Amino acid sequence: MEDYKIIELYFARDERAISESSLKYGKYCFAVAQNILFSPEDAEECVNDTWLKGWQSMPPQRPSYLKLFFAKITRNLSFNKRKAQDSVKRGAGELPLAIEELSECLPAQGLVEEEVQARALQKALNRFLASLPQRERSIFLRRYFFTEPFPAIARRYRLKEANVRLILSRTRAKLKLFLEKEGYK
Amino acid sequence: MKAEQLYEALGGVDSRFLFESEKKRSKKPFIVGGLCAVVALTLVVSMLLGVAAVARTLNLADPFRMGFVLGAAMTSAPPKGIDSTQTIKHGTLYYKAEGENTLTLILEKTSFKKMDIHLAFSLNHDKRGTPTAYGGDRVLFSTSPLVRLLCENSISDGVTILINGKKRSSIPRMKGKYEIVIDFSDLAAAGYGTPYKMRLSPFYLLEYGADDEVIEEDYLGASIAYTHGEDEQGRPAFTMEVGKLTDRSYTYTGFEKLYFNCTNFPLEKVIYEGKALPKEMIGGKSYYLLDLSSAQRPEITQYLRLVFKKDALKKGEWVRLEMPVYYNGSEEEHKRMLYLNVSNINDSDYISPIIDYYDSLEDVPAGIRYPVPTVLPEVKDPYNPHFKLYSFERIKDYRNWEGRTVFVYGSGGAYYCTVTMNVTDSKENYDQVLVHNGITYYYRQEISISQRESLLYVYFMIDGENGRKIHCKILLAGSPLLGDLPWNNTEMTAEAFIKGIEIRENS
Repeated sequence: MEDYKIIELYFARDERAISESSLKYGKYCFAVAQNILFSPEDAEECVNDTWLKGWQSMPPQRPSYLKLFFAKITRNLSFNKRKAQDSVKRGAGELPLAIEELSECLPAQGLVEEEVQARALQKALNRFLASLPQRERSIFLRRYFFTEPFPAIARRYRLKEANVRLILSRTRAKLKLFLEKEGYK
Repeated sequence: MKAEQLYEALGGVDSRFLFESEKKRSKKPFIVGGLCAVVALTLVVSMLLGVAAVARTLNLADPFRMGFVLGAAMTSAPPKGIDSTQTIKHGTLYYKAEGENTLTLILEKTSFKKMDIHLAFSLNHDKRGTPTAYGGDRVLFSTSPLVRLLCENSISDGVTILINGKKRSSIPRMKGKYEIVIDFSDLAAAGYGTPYKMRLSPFYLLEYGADDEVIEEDYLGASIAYTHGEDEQGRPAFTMEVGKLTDRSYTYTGFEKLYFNCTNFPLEKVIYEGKALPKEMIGGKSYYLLDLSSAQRPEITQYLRLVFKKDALKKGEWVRLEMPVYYNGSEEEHKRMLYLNVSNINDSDYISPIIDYYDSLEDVPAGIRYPVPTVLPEVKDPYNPHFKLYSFERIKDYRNWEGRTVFVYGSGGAYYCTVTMNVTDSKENYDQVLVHNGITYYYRQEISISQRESLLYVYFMIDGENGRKIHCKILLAGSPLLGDLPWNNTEMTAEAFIKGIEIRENS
């Protein structure tokens, strides 16, 4: 079913919205969750929660990109779940690695102060991403939004894994500079 | 934990970027990754060709001396230096001159396709000035509406682009001959690049057109983008790019017949592939007809050139082009009314597609009632945390609200207020207060930009006598591209007891 029809189902409070969403994007969202949680059961749970969240969000929201709308929900639910499990640093999978890599972007001292609003950081990140070339930006997001492993990113962009690592390393360096300039010390 | 914060913050990344990242292996050449290899290869070739001699004369010890090497995204072999010509996808590029900190190119543009030019900066060099690493490119100027945002926080700020002697930020979309002077003087003088210790090194061209891009609009129905300029006689001319989006998988299909006209500004003519389009009558009204029914494989996107009568449109003014459009003539359900607000901006030739549609050929309706769903999200209005918020996304449109009365129905009765919109291109948010019939009325505007559209959001709040309040969001019009625009649009909402909003003509 086309996205706009699915959205209309949500707006019509028609429960087929959930089954259609699951049918169309279930596997996709599962992959997003699995990359973060590394647990099929937990991933499945987050995917189910995604439809619920979607149900609660539409209306009023009318997402432009339904797939990514769900991806965001899944990612955030999965991350929250992972945090709740208190296994961010210790668990298996790509998330600990991704987070460890991102820590390079933060200044060695001061770091991001707790009182800094997440929203401000989000805006700053969007500005940073906007300043990147498209492919660099996309690779960055495949890694740090979708938490995809390097080989998967390399396949997607037909690059060697080493290239992907190099690009990400440079992008992280840029992000570090950017965040410093933005006052995240 | 800080990295976690960063990771978490990435959860709010702009969906456009995510959408972009969903694409697999773009046709666009990979700039950063490919750049090293290609530029390195190019350098080797250049050296073999004796460019080293040129380099000597350029004094490589000066980090801002500019040599240029075409690489990465080229569509033909790199030029052998000044006075050479490169064939590119949408024309030819002639390398006219190289100065102390300038490069002069002559672009012979042979199509209406979009074309972006990127500059690459190398970040690190060895002692001999040989690039050892590349920091990627920065869009220097582009037909993309995002160009200014892309330039933000970038190192291209100190670069001036003169196109046909005028400072510009984008390449005109229209065919023609353009002299492009890229001037790095400010960059050099400012000792720019302290964070990067960069050096201008490879200059290369990246061009891409609509046929290389995944269409990113996601709305169903018509998609029309405009570029504007002047024709050879100085008349305002718009290039209209028409496609029909048929599903949500971001693909276009062509249409057979497109009937359209501009109802409020007289069109002199409409040019398609060098010929004036015929007109046909529908319902007693005259429409231009673009007939592709006999075309064997019509292009997905068509380019029409709209030429308005002299003095119909004036530069620097906001105009609204009301364009009824029919697809294939007889299909009622495909009728669209398109509205466009255009501001002629001197330094940009790209007007974002500021288009919406609705399923009626009626003129702006005199009365519309929008029911408000009863399920309300718990979203706080950042500007007033006391309000519960609800998004009125469903009432977004581009109608002219000027002179209309907005009735807001709530459990306490109806509130109304006369809408007086002052559309400006100010990027500042500000509040204005009007008092009308005992109703205090505020409005604030914000401008949002995305890759394919640039929208002006006007929020208005009505404060009734009994203290009940409502926020509404009305998408009014397109806006010029402005720097430092907000990325996140605030959802405007209404309190739960509001039952609906009605818009009426003023009596």
